[in-house]
This record gives sequence, structure tokens and C-alpha cells, in this order.
Amino acid sequence: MSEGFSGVVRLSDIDDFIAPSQNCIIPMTALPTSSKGGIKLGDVGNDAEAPLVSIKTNKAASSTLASRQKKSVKITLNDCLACSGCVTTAEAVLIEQQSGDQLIQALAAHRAASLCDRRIAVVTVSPQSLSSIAASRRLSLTEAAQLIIAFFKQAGADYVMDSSFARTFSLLATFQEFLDVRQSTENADDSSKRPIFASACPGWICYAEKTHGQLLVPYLSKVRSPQAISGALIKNYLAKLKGVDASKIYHATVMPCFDKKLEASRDDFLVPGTDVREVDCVISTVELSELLDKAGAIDTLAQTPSLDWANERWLSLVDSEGNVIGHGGGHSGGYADYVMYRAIRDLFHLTLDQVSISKIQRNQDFEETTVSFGDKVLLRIAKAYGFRNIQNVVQKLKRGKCNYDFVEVMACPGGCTNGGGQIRAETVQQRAATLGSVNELYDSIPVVDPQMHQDAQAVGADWLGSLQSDIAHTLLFTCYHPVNKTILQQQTIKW
Amino acid sequence: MSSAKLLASLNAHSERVWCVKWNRTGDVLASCGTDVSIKLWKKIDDSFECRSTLTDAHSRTVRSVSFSPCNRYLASTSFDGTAVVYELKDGDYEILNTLEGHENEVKCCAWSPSGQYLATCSRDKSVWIWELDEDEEFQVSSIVQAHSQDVKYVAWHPNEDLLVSCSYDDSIRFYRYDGDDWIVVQRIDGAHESTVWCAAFDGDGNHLATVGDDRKLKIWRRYPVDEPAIQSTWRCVTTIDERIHQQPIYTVDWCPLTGLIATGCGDNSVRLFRQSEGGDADAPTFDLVQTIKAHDEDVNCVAWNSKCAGMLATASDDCLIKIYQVQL
Repeated sequence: MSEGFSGVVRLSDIDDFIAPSQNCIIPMTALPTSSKGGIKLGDVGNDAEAPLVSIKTNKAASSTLASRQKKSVKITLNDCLACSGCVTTAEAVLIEQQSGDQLIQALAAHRAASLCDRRIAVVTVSPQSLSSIAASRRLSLTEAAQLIIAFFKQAGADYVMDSSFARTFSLLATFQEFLDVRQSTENADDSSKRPIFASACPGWICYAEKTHGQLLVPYLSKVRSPQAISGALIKNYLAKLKGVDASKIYHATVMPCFDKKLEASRDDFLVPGTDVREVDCVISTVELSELLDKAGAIDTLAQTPSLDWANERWLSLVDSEGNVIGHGGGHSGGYADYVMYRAIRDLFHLTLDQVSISKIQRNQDFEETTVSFGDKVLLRIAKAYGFRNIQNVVQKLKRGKCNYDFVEVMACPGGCTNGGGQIRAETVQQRAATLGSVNELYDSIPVVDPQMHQDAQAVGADWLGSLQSDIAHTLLFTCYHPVNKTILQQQTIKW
Repeated sequence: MSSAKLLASLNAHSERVWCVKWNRTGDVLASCGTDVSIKLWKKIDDSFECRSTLTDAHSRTVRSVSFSPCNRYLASTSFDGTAVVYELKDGDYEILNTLEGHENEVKCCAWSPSGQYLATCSRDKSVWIWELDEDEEFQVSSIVQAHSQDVKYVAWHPNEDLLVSCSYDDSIRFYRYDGDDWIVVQRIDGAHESTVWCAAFDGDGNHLATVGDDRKLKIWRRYPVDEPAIQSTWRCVTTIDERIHQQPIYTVDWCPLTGLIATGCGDNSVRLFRQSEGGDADAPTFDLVQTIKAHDEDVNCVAWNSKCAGMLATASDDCLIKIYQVQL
């Protein structure tokens, strides 16, 4: 089951101390207390604080557990995730919580409930997932998008949205952060703020927080991932637009990556002041594919007409031409390229003709780009994908030799189109061919400059005002938290 | 009949000695162990002097050492989770780099025949392949997690960039570079019935010896033998069963000069084997030529000198290193 998670998550959590059928044996002193809903000792009668996940036990055991519960220590899913002891236990629980079946049930329940109550259900689909679905079913991107839209709308969704729309905000905020960090350190000869590591990849975040928290967290970009921004768009902006409480909105995402389930479970992504998740459920591309298989023939023409179609183009997976939004710069969101091109233009005020851009490919998944103007190096940018290159970046940082301005770090070799949740072929050769056709489709998506994207600019102005507003700061940015190694882990080292 | 003469018994480690390795010119022996030190022994004719003790690099047991083919670098691995590379400067090995990344105890390290790569393996189940770049920095060339348990040992083919790893999961794995990353080319599950502790190629790289907790010594041969080793498939051609070794076998080395196989066993003995004359290449037989009661406790490591034919170093839980000269 843990196979679906990125190599980084699997590698960084080797010691699976508790299986789902056991109680957590980690000493309480060792458990992180930072997250809200941490450990509650003797917290009597506050059922609203019931754990998100009770560690599963067999039936007999769980009833005794329940009867003792009021005196016992509660461990939430977040504690499990925050503890570097045993992600795999949490993984099992997570997959159960965020499965295709759960999503379908939730959409059906939503549809039933919306008969007597105003509710909204949205599914946000990543372009990598769309490309994988299209490639595996030999469809064009538009046909695949129509299939996915029809499927989710028949299942009960009101909107099916493109996560690239949210990524537009991610990119804009990433460059804004880059400028801010640069300005704040410009005169201080302070290289301590360099580099900035992109933080959209949850596998990388999981590793950074748990394995080298103190070292890496200060360098992580605080910009939310596209999924997390889509969560804010739906549960904050759409809620306001429609006058529907966030708790009455159901929001699921389809991602190329199982680790996104971990991301959605972070307390940082609760609707502020509530326990409502901004993303209620994440399913992987491969899980969507299974759902589509089970659904059989889907009439792509018999779509439920969406509410207020004309006013919410941003809530549609494809535009009137049948296109999703592309951003270029590779298959993982294009953060590094976006920062680079914007910096050349808007920071250095130069044109591409005036600068020289040289690339060194250290290996297939490690690309260094240097931008110079005459003899002067203006920028050093890198894309480092896969666990080995994460290690290379971490080692460089430790040795004080990580002289990049921005690094796009992704846990999966090949980046997000090759994510752990994508549809895979059986043999190695077939996999390479599959990835090739997924990449080809992904690359065919027309690229839109985030600053020129009219719908995004309009929504941004209406929702946030500017990127520097307080609400933008709350809803486009997040925080990361170093996790201390548990005492148990230290105690059980054997040789 | 061969006879092994004890040349020296080196008593300088205060706790168990885990590993001994000769440099490629055969005149320096490195040893390491639980006392967190690495000692370098200079061979002067048939006697040995401890010329330096490296104690700064690690904070816990030093589990293995390995010299690069050019002798310029020495690597060590430790239960502290790191590997350290030293560079020879003015006759002394000085710390060049600390390689961090393994989650926990690093069990073994080995340099590729070209000296370009250093392989390390760990209790974290992974094998890492590091590559020295132009700035004398080590880049991670690959992280392969092909085992389901603790990886005990890694060894390189003598002429090609083919790596083998041995694990607590009873299996061995072979790896090669595919142009961008390292890939597993052959998996042999159940290579032994228990932990595979060690592996050693013969001088020409056509055979591999493995030993395990199952008290067996196995000989593997590659097919087809006239193709490059990275393209061949390994098959077990001989098993020397537990009637010979009645305790787990922790170490094996295959002398490139004499063709002798040495094993070190939990019964404190070192055994020497030689392939029988004639015989079938697909089913060779090996004769036990001598059993040496070498130590008072487990023998953790045996190492043939690759320049002085028949010179064997052994390391044991009894804190001693012994040097034997085997006469053929």
C-alpha cells in the first residue's frame, strides 16, 4: 500500500513501529506537541475534539478502547504524520479516508443533502492527472477533460476545476516571495536566506520537515502548493461568492501524487478558525482511472449544466476552446523557470537577448541554470528531482556550497508527470513510453503567462486585492514545521 | 597441502575489530572497530607497525574501511550513519568529505575498480552510489532501495562497474549504471537461507563467493562468461554446506593471486578453500585445504593482500588482528 507514495516518503520513514492494528507505543514526551490537536491527556468529555483517526484495532479491542477513551491519550492522524516514527500506519488510514469510493460516496451524499440545503461540491483536477488519463485512454486532452467533467458531474459535483488556475497564483506568489526575500537580504550581504526551495511537492516537504527540519525549513518557500491554493479558492472565495458556509462545500482533488493526501491533512490547511479542511479528499490519477473503469460508459454530453456558467469560467477544467492552462518550464509546475524569466525582466530589467543563459545537466533530474549579464552572474537556478538529487542539494547546503537562488525540488524522478499516483505500465520499456506520451500531451498544453491570465487576474483582484494584502498572506502562503526525531527512534537503534 | 604461518598478532584496538582492508599496493593495512578508531598499519617486510590512528571522523563504531584503487582515498563507514572519505596528503590520510544521507548505521563501503564510484550500504535498506566530481565533492549518483532489510555488504566486480549487495533479507542484488541512474540487473532472492553476510569476486570476475548465517559458502558463476559481466546472469554452481562451517560465516575473500578462498566463521576459525583440479566449470568442486584456529571469538573479516601472494589479514571480536602467510 505504501508503494504508491513517493520514494522519499517511503525512504524517510523506515521504522514502522506501529501497524494499524496496534496502539501507538511512542512515549508521550516524544510526541510533537506543536500541532493543534496534539496529545490530550485526560481531556474528558470534549467529544468535539475526537481524534480524526483512532488507531484502528480489531472490533473487540476497539470497543474496550472506546470505553476507556476518556481517560486515554488521543492520537490524531496529524500526530501520526508529524511523528517521524510511522508514516506507513497513517498511510493506511489515509488511503481509507481518501479513497475513490469515499469520494463517490461523499459526492452522492452531497447531492442528496443539497436537495434541502444549499451545498456545493467541487473537484479540482491537476493537468498531470489529465495528461495521464488522456494518454492511457488514447484520448485528446479535451476529450479526457470532457470525460472527467461528465463523470464527476454525474457523480454529484457542481464544478470540475483545473488546478493550474490555482497554480497561476502559486507562481505569482512565488515570484513575489523571491523579490521580498531578495530585498530583505540585499544590503546585508546575508546569504543565509538563499536559496529558496520550492515547496509544492509534499514528498519533499515530508522529508524536509522530518529528516532535516532545522536545516531545511528556513529555506522552504512559504507559498502554498496549487492544491492548497485551490482549497483556499473553493472554501474561502467560492464560499463568499455563493454565500455558502465552507462546511457546506465539499472539495476533492485529483493529483499525480499520493503524498498530496498527506498535504491535505495538514492542520495548516484548515479553514481558519474551524476544523473544516480546505481539501476534503485527494485521490490519485490511478484511483480516478479505476473509478472511470468501474463507471463504464459515460455520456459526456449529458452534463448537468453548471450554475452561473458564464460568471465562473475559472471553475471549469477547460476553457471554451477545450484547453486547460499551461505554464511551461517542465512537468512540475515551472516554478524555477517562472522565477528566472520574471527576474530577468522585472528584477534586472533586461531582455532575454541581453543575458546569457547556460544550462548544465548534472544528471537527468538535476539541471543547473546560470543567468549572466556580461561577466556578472545574475542568477543561479536549479531543478533537482528525485531522492538522490534532494540528497545532493541537502549536502551542498550543509557544506555551505548551495549557491543557488532558487531550487525547484521535487521528490519524484522525472517530476510530477511521473508522480507516484500516475497510471503506470507493467514493464520498464512500456513505462518509458507511457511517460513519453504523458509528457507530450502535457507539453502540448498552451502556455499562459500568469500575469496575462485574465480570469486569474480578475479573481485575484476581487478575492485578494493584491498579493501583498493580509488575506493574500493568509491564503496564498503557509508555514512548515521542523519535526524532532522521536526519543523512541533514538532508543531503538540497534546494531 | 598448504600451511599458514602466523606473521603477526596486532593488539592495538581496545574493542572488537570489524574490518581489515589492504591498500592496493599491499603495503598498508587499515583496520577499524568498536573503539571508534581507524588504524593504519605499515608493512615492513613481515612485520607491521601502527603508523597512525584516525579518531576524529566518527562518533560511533567504525564498521568498514576501503582504499580507492589509486590509494589516494580511504573511505570508512560508521554506525553514526555517515561515511567519511580521507585523502592521502604528505603520507597521512586527512578527512576530505563526510558523506551524510543514510538514515542509520552504514555497514559497508567499496570503491569501484575505476575509483569513480563509492558504494555504501546501510541498515536503512538502501545502497547509495556516490560519484566524485571535479571539485572533489561527492555527488549522489544513485540511491537504490532494492532490499527489504538491512544491507550488510557491497562488493564491486574487479574490472567492471558491476556492484553486488548482500542483505539480512537473505538475498543478493546486482547493479549497473544505465547511463543516468543505477539499476538492479539481477535479484537473487533466497540466495542463502538466512542473512547473506559477505561476497567476494574472484580475480577475473567470473565467479562470486557468498557466505551467510546459514553456514553455507556458495559459489556463483556468470553466464555467458564471454560477454561483459554487466550483461551476464549469475547462477549458483557450488554450495559448501554446513557440515564444513558449523557456525555462521561472516566474511569471505577470494585471493586474486592464489585463487584461495578464505572464510571467517562464528567458530573463531579461518578456513581456506581451493578449487579442485579439472572438474566441470558448471559444477566446480572446492577442497578445504586448511582450518586455522585463528581467534578466540567470531572472525569478522578476512582480507587477502593483492600484491603479496598468500598474505591474509583477519579481524575478530577478540580485539585482535592477525596476519598469516599461506604457503602453497
